[in-house]
Amino acid sequence: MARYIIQRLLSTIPTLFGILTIVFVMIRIAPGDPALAILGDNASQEALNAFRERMGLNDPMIVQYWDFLKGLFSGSLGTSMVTGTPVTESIGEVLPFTLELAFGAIFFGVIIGVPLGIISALWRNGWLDYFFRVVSLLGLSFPAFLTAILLILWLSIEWRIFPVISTPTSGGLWDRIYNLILPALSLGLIMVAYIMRSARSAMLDVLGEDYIRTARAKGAPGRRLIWHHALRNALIPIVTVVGLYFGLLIGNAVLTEIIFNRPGLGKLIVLSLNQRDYTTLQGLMVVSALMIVIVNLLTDICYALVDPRVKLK
Amino acid sequence: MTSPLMQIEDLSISFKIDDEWCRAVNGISFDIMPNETLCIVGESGCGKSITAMSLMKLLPDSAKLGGSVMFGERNMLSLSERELEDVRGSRIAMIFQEPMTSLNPVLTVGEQIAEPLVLHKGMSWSAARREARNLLDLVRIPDAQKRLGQYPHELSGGMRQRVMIAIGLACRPEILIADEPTTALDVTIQAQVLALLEDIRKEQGLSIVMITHDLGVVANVADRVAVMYAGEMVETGPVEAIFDAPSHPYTQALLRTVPRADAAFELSPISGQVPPIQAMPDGCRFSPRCAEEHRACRVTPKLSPGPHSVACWAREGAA
Repeated sequence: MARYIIQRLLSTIPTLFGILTIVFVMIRIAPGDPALAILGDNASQEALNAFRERMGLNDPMIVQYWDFLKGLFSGSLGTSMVTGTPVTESIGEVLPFTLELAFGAIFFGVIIGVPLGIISALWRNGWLDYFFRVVSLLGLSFPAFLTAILLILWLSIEWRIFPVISTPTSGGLWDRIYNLILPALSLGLIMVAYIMRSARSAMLDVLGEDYIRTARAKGAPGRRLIWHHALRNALIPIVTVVGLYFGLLIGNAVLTEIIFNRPGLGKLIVLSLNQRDYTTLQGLMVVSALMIVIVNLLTDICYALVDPRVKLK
Repeated sequence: MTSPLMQIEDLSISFKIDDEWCRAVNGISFDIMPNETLCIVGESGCGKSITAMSLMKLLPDSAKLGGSVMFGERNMLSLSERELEDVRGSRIAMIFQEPMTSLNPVLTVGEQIAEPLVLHKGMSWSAARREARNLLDLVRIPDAQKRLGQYPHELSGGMRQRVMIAIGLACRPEILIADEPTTALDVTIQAQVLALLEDIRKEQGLSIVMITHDLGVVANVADRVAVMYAGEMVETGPVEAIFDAPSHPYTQALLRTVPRADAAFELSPISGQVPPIQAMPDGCRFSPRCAEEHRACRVTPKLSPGPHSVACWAREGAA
């Protein structure tokens, strides 16, 4: 197992390397001048030049790239062009918030999506099935920011259950969770639609399998058929969907973090984009790519946990 | 004369095809006697498998069932799902054709064998697992302790079918229904599995209902044979009578399709095809393919009484 994980992580190095290169180049060919963005339109030519010199922006791109890679191998993502703080530090500060948001969203996606999918499958073509399928279609078609705003209007302003601004204040665990629920729910609702659909079709497939008939022939009651015999098998495609849409989740987290005014990678990305903070942006891309890679690895490990036929080699 | 374990009376099974109810099984009656092996034979699509499933009411809700399946005092067809769960796996068990897909791939062999014991005998999982070990010994799987923790994909086809048999036998049922248990297996393994079933039947005194299209299997294991054609039972009788003196034209034709070693024997396939379920002929369903003719063939014949009975107008009074 440990050996497998190490192998997998090593094998992602070329992927990461490719992503880094693309990100590095794209940021630099995008229009906009960091010196101008940071120092303002009124800055003197000397000041602009001095800034560019200090940040290495006057060097040829290949030299900048080499410096970037050198830093990376020594574990540094450079320092922010704007604030001067190390990029690892500013990312490290907000990363836990995005992680808890993403996993909270997956949590809601699974605990709502899987039961709905199962109910839909069991009452296939019944009115409940149609109802859930229409709702999930709506969930898919609704933009994430709209769902978030509706949730705030409804649960925060109308019913006053959750805070409008979900910035955790004190460091307490309960406070963290309380402030997490609404953003995670709004982000999770996107997952619900995908998970529900895959749970439904996986369940329908599994319920038609021979081993379900065997379990019925043993006299296993309906509850046990569904939760023990069928669900374990249906989980395999569900795990795939969760892993696959994790990337989508990170993308949508940007909007969620802005709407709920939460610290996080998404907010940091938008901020650094506006400021043309090359170094921070690069660092953020590295971390996002790494997250996706790790989630893929976790997905594969989950397969092996759910399905004994899968061997991690 | 011992009384039958199970009495199937006028059983019919219908499915809705293109908005019309079609009778896949058309009013069949037979008995299952204690401690016997009854083989139900017929070509594919004759309704033998769904007949077997209906004995435990395992068919999907889309099937409409008629007649009665009396097991003791109770009609299986009118029991609630809850009551059926008590009978299934404990008093009547079933093993299926496909050992590759009939076991749950994500549960260990031990758990799958132990499950009926926990469900029906109220055993703890650890006690049931110990009993599962004994059952693996009973079905002659070597290295039982190790097998308990393995998953179905780690076993061969023959092993898996033995595991299925162990599951079926776990609660010592009175009837074991075996739906083509050897069809998917190699010939050598087939013989082993059949011998195993036969030994267990003798040891434990249960009845086996064997569904098969393989007359070789029938000749090996059957005490009694019921021949089905197009959803009807055309002939039943002791195995010797069926093989030595087949009476119904279909049974006779069926026996001529089995290759034999003697040089004089020539294989002769049955001409024509089984009519589609939506377009069954009136009267005797075999009549369009039958060489013999009788003025009453347009009327459905009934099985004649007696141990060797046949449903054919041309044999009326002869059997």
